[in-house]
Amino acid sequence: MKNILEILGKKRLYFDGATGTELEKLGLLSGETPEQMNLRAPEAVEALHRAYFEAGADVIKTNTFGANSLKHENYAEMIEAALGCASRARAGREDKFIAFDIGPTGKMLEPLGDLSFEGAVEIFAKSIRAAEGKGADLILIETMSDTYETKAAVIAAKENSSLPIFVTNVYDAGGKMLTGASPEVSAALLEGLGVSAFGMNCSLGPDKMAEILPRLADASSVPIIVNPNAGLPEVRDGVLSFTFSEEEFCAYMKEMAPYCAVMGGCCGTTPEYIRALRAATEGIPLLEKEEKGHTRVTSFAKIAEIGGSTVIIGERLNPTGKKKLKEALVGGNISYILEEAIKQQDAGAHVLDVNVGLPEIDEVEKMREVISAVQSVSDLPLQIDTADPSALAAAMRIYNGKPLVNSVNGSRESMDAVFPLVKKYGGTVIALTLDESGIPADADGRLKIAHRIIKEAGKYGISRKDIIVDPLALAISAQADSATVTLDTVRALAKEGIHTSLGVSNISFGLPRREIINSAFFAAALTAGLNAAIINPMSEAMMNVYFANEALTARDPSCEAYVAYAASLPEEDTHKGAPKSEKKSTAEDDPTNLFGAIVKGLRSSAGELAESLLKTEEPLAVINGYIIPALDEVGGRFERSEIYLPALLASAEAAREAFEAVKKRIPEEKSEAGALVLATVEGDMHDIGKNIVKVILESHGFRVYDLGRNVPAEKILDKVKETGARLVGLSALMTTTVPAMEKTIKLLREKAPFVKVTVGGAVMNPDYAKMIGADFYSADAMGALEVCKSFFGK
Amino acid sequence: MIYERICADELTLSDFELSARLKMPVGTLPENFEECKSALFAAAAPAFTAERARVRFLSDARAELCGRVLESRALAKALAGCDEALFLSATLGFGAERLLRRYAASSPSLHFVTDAIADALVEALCDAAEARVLSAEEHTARFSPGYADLPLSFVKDILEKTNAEKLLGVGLTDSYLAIPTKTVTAVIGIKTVPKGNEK
Repeated sequence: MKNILEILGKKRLYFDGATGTELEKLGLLSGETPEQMNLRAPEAVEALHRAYFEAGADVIKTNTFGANSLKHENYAEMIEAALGCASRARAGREDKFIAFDIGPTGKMLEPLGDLSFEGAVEIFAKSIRAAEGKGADLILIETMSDTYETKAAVIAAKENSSLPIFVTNVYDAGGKMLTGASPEVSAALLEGLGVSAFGMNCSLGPDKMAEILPRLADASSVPIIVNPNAGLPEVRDGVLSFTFSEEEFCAYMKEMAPYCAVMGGCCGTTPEYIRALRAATEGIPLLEKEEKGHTRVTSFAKIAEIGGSTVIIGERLNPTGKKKLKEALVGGNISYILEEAIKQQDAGAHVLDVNVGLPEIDEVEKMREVISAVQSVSDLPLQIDTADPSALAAAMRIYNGKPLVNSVNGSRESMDAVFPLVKKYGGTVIALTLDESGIPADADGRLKIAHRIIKEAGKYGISRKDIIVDPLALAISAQADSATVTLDTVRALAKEGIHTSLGVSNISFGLPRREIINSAFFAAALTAGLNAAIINPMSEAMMNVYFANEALTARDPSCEAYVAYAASLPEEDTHKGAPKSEKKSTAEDDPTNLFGAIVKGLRSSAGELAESLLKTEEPLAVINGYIIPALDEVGGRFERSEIYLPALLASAEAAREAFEAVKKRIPEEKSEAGALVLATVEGDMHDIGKNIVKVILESHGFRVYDLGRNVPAEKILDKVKETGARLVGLSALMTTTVPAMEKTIKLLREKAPFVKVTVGGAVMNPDYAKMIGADFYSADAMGALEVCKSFFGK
Repeated sequence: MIYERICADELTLSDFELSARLKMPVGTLPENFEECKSALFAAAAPAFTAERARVRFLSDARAELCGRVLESRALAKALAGCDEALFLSATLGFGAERLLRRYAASSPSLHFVTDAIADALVEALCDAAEARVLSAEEHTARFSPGYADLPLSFVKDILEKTNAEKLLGVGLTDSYLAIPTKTVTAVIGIKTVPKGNEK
């Protein structure tokens, strides 16, 4: 038997066509799934495989698309039978191959859905283990519309089999996967994961795939598979058929043939299509694939390409020197972390650094939690920043995309720990120019380490394009020539075509007014050829340098980005310092005072005005003199139907921002009105009502430990025990999840009898609340506020 | 099987739907309405799939649909007089879902308003799907799993019947919530009398 990898890319291989629609013709029963036929009518399945081989297919797909433990209890039996059918059909055809076929689970993965990443890996792993050693020559993961599920399947294949892995994803006519990935994003991910071939199948006909193909071909040098439908499905005289005849199908396939190492068909393509396809394209030479030099990191939807425009890596999700982030990480305040992520994205970051390293937390667990949470709200690629190899492994495994890995260095220990992970999960690595002997004092020493790291990476098959060298910015306050050495190293690396990144802010450590030094150094590094920079994207001084540099180096040729940026800056005459605050004026809607800003719902102004007021007034005076009266005013207007919920929420957000400013000045217990744990119960993904309650309560000074949605009872109990909160708020929107609410209350009664429970949500009413054992009920957010005020005696 | 994508700009939001979702009087809109609407319309990829099937009435509280016998008095009543039904799955897609997740984490007011517009948009999508597929036929109003006594678990049958997992990427949680959350599944009864011929 030949190894398919010996042929792949040298000579075009042909897949078979449709399985499901063909099995319908061969007697699939109503309500029966195709894979059940492996057991009921194996001879029909075998006949289909044989027909495809005879039509010219080199590779047939086993009839196992839906044979997984989630859909069928007897999946293993089905898989064994399917491979039996395929092997019998292949008997005597030594040059033909069997692809063990894997389709999607049918469940959405977390954080959007409720199937955990590891749960998905295990479902695929079970199927792969059932197929192992039973005659397959490769694993085909196909019809995937979510890159995250694709990644779970690829990892399961890598961990449970040594067979080559082929992958085909589904794109829509606009060239996107359903969860947002472009061809370039999925190419970067799959190339990083080291699959043998990848491409597209299903959903589109060859006409539309021909439009997407050049993007896939340009994105990577991995062999490409194209398995289109026979056009679009249509019902003619009550019979399902497809729009393209064999000839029309082949006309498009001929166009694509030079770029495709593997071709075949999907829905609607019969053995006749495959016969015609082979005849039409066999004589068309296959273009030799060239190495593409793209240095790309991705999320599930976005790419950051290193080597063109400067890539801004947001530094704010790193607890070093950030008290609030430290507290958020230790206290499990994910909301704060997510807000920081979103603020950086809005400020123009292209990648977000994520570092959760604190001695008092379990870094592995926290890294998993934060990566997953940040990816639920931001589509930017992430830089996984940790010195702990097990935290790095955990994060790279569950990361949805191809990450930037921070970092490896020239020490043997570091390279031995990091490169196997990059080989397994894919990624682009930041390489620090230090080793066992420390940081070389000159550029030559740092260059030597960079070269050594690149060489060592090559031994793992990690290309030079996936190494970005960080020549290290060290504090000039400690070493006067440190900036010069770093800039010399950047220049030398750029000359060799090696990409570079720097943690820019380190240069000013120990000095006052650090932005002055940072921005000047950033400008110099960009001139030296720096490709990526870890900076604070909320810093106007740093972003000024970035946008100016883009315009000056013709990367922003019509200065469009610069003009848009300039327009987003505050007016020149007012942007020095925060807006001036006045004493509470009689003009209640005057947004230039804090009272008015809250009433008008101006979030950023409210924060700035509170900061400004706190320079002259006591914190409690700001709360009692401005924030509370403004909220009373807004509450009154809401009661009188002069304003509605959206305006009430905007005011609550503004008041919360002002409260945040006050909290920085006084011990929390003095500003806090009371603390409660809030959650949407397990099984329920609706959180809009819970979020409204949260902001209303926070705007009135309550501390809310928000556990999010789909929260198990045990997690709520743990938070109560950890925080000592005396009140828990539970929300449920679906009737199917009310039992989870009841279960939570029972658990709290048993294990934390001191705590009281208030409930709300669309399916709740006072009687129902009483029935499931709740202490309080409120119909809406203002009702919840009254419950809290009364409970905490405010 | 019918599958179609419709640009959000081609859909008409109902004032009444918006009013109900925003909890504001008809004709009034929040200040951030345009900001939320344009972000949502840019992120959403409205699409639907629909499939016809025969309906068999077994009694006044039992009907057979998709090969499944459903014990639902309300559904049997809603589909009375229909021989056929249209199964509909319609979604705004994952871009809208992610935008809502992002707003949920950053701004309750943007989240609330965008969520309300998304609800109105997915209803507008269903209206458009109905108009395109059933324009020549008399039909009942949409009836969705979870209404009255029609079990929520019937969502699964509709998604399967309309091939929504493959064509729209819609998944289902263990508690029968469709993901993306701005997804509607429904059954629409089709009356045998063509439109215009009815009394």
